[in-house]
Amino acid sequence: MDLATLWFLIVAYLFAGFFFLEGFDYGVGILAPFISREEADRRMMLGAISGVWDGNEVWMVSAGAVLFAAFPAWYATLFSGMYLVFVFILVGLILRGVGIKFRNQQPDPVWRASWDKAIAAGSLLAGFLWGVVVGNLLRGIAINADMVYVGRWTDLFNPFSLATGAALVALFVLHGAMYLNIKLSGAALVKLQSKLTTIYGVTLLGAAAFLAYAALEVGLLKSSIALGCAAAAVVFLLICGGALKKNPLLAFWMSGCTIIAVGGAVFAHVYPRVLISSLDARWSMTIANTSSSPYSLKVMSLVALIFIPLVLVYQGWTYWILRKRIELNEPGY
Amino acid sequence: MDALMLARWQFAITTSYHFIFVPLSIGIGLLAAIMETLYIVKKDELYLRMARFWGKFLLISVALGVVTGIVLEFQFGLNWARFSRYVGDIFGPPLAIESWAAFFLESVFIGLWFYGWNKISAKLHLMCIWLVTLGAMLSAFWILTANAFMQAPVGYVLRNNRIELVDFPAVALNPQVQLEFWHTVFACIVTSAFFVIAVSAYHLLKKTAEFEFFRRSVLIASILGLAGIIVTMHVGHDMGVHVARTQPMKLAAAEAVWDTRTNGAESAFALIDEKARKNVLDVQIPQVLNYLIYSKAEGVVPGMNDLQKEFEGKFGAGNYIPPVTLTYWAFRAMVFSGIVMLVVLMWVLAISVHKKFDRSPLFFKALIASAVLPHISNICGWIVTEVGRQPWVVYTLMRTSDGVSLSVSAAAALVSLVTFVLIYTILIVIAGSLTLKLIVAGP
Repeated sequence: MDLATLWFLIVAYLFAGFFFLEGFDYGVGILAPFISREEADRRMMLGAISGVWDGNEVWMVSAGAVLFAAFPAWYATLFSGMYLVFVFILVGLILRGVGIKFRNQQPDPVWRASWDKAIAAGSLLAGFLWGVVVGNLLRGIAINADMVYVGRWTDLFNPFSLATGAALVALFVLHGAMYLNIKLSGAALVKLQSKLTTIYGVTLLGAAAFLAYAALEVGLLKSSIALGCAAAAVVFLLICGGALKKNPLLAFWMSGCTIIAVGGAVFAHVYPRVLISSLDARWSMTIANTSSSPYSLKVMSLVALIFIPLVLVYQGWTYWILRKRIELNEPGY
Repeated sequence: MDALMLARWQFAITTSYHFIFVPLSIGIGLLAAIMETLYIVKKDELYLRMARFWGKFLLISVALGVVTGIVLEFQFGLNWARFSRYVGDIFGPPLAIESWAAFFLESVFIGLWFYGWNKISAKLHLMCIWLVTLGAMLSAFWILTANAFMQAPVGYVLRNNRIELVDFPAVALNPQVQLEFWHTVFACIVTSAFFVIAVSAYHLLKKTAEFEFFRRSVLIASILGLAGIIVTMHVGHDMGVHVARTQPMKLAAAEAVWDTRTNGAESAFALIDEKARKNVLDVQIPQVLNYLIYSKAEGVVPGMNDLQKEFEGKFGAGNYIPPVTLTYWAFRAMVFSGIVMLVVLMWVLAISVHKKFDRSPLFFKALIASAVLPHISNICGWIVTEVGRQPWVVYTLMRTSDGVSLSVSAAAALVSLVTFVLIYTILIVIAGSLTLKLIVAGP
């Protein structure tokens, strides 16, 4: 395997990790208003993510930076091509990022309710638009021979990309619910558990419908690896359903694995291309014609070799420290 | 306005906004780390309360610094796709390394610091804030490494229609980044010192019950701030010497030197006519410029008109002179604020060492107002660096106008610019009022 392919896998790894970790952050943000409007419950739900979401978001930052470093042309065409989609992802990220940090700084109920709305809206916007990006990755966008996007911005919001956005939001909401299921306690947990079956049922139906749509629309299951990943996603999702009530921790890992498997299917479908041209197959951008120089990749491989394991260890360690369920009126939250 | 101009405005505005919070994140983090260390060493609860109180402002600045930082990371691809494609091979790696070797450190441990007070031992908790500060500083290093390449390109070769990395150590050890790093990090410390002094001045003015709390805060901040401003100025001088060699056009613009100058006179006040390419009026101090650049009386400072001819010969027709008036005055505003800050910090340190806080209300009000000085200096410093480099985005290798995205229409760029300005304006109002409330509430 050449270095560029290795870096394609690292990009996939970072995006999958980002969707796994920020998936439940977004999910909690979107879900919170539907679980409870009471202050104590709200605090607890936010408290479940407030100690870890900063680190989670760096997975996205890292994915973006690695894309820039290892595949400059991919990064350039993706971001400039889907310009307004990314601008509003940023708007969503700003709303929720500031909201999570600011909400508890003032006791005023109006202040808190406003930030709750901002967190929910920001999470939904970012999660949905990342789905739109993924949908367009699968479907292809109007890229010309010079690697420049020549379509209109409205083309990016097609039925398939919108459906992908909805499907991804559903997965994030499920994953967020599974996360809250292992973090909450007391009344908030009871309220969440009364809704778990509904959340799961809707997500399962949505996921199944989307899978059929993707198979027909973009031929998602044509590559054997994508097929394998999609099959694994289905299995993980079913195990998640089985463990819903009896084994919350397993259910959480399974909803996370579903997201990772979906990520695997997406990247397997695209491979060895990185951006599919909907205008002419020959204009599709590939790993080979977008990657950085071998020397640049070599330098970064060395850095990755040291820091990927190191970051995993200390980030994992903080999760271990903060592993307990959130108690009511816990100091600091 | 065309898409290029909009993209430039957007980058300038979003970067300047980002840099209101970055210095506070770095500097307040360091101050909080020192305070918590003093708590562990001296077992004095007051230091713990100090770390917690100032930590609240760390939380606000990090929140805004992070969300506005992601906007910048995405913006290279969003608005500057051709730049990204052309220099990504060498510009991308520092950013990728930044996320792994620095930003993860800062973000993971800041969560644990804020929410782990009762979950980990006191020493482990202290380690968290030091790792946050270390992460923030390393982050600055790698971002500035990328910026330094745009100022003084090293370790590259032109190949495959782009700039390719051939010598990574040269990029990371670029003399430009050594200077930028120390200059910037210590300026960040100064910025935070002024913030702490201003907030403390408010409480000392109002004679709130926390006299000792704020006296010690001022003492720590003024020691750090004074050390910071001295280093910042010293490295700033070295930077001027370096820029004179590596980017003579920027130096000439900052000094409004149109025609090559042999008498080494420093401009104190100039009325600049950029169209006619001359100064209408120029009040000069003899010799000073040569001493600043060459540390001696003799020396030749190339003027912009001669450099323009030289550049035309090398790079073809075009305007190679940056916006001179802006660069010239930004440079003066930076240096002047720096000198005022030096005086203020010496004064405040003397007062807090001698515990002589019995001053007139005007004194404290002036101290509160002085918190704006480092921000003026910071932004003006970046204006000199970035505007003074124009028309290049990567010095001598790529023009800014060649770096802009082709697929982004002026309409789309306008939508994003208006959106960001709107959100940022709302945010600064909310964050400002929250900060004021936390200041008034006190520890």
